[in-house]
Amino acid sequence: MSVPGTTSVTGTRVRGCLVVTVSQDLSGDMLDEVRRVALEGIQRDGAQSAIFELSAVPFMDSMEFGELRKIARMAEMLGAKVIFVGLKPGIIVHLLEADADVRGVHAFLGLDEALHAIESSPSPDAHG
Amino acid sequence: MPQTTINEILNKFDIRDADIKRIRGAAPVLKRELDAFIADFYTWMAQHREYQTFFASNPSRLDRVKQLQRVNWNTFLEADLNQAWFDARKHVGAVHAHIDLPNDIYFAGMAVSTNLMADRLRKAKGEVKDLDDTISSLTKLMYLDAYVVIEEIARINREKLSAGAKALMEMSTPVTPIWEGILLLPLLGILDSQRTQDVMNKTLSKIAETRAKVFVMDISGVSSMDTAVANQLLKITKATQLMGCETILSGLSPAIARTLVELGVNIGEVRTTATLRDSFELALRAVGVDRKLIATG
Repeated sequence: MSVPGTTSVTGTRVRGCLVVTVSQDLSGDMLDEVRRVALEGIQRDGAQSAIFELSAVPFMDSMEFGELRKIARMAEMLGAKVIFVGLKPGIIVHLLEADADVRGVHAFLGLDEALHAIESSPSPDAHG
Repeated sequence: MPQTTINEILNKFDIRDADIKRIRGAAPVLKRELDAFIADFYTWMAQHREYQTFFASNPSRLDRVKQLQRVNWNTFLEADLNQAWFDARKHVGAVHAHIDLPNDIYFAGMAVSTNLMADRLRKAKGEVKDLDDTISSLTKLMYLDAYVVIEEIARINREKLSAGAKALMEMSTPVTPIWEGILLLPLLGILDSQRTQDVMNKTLSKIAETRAKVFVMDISGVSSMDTAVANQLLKITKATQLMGCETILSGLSPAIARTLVELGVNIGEVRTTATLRDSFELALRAVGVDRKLIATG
């Protein structure tokens, strides 16, 4: 089951988790699209976890990262834990050099690791 | 080199039009005796070990160098202090840097050359107007010549040092996989912002390559701990966290622990241990290795 989005942002249900895949940089309306796909998908499916799959995002500045974090907090208010996956090393170095706030960000190298971590951690009740 | 820079240097060395005119006035005498002057110079140099080092086993090299000297002194005496003049001296500096000519023999050689030229002018005093002033002008130009050569040597040595430091930095960040999913870096020396970026780049690449879950960074070799260093360490732990890899800091001494607490550094949830062994044990548990498999004693 997938959440309709632009071809640059897609939402797909994978093993009970909403995977929001971003396939280009976050400029323009992209962040609005990420927010819409993530929050609508979480609400409609009752997903308890959402993965922001960012391995295809070529670059990201600290402001865009900050906006992504805000979207993650909104998702958490809807009851879903958010995990960032696939941040490129160059982006990570840039964010830290720019003193971006990364506290509380859950991240994994790839989708496999993220799904494994979600499935291994205890959850209060199951959905979908 | 723009003309303004040349003018600035000439001003600094107090080389004026009158000096150039005097040198050019003395040039016919000195050029006439150039071969004898060069022969006298190498007679002097033959008394020193550097002569043995550079020329004794290679007489054709000596002939070549004498020829280069002829060209060099001819342009010196023409005293046309333009870009080409400075470039020619820089080239001499580059050659000296390449052969690693010691400074003492170089400066001694310039002093000897100045005296040899002054002697020749004194002997030809009838031909040279304002002898004392001419010798003074010649000496000033010798100083300028020596400065340009030595400055080029210093510039080349600075470049070599910088390249060496960079190479050392490359070798001093060996991020190594020591177990499935575990990376180790024994951090030695200083940890400034440039080194931190180097560590982050290498570590993150290795995490992506090996899909490591734990990164053990041993800081027992870090030369000093203060707030700046602590913040660099925290930056590295945040970087690995963003790739889903936990950093464990090992090698904390009582002194470092005390410094961190007294400075009020908040290391958050970063796990730290005193010994590498303890960190390795934590890392093995984190990647799911059965504790019974870990050897004791």
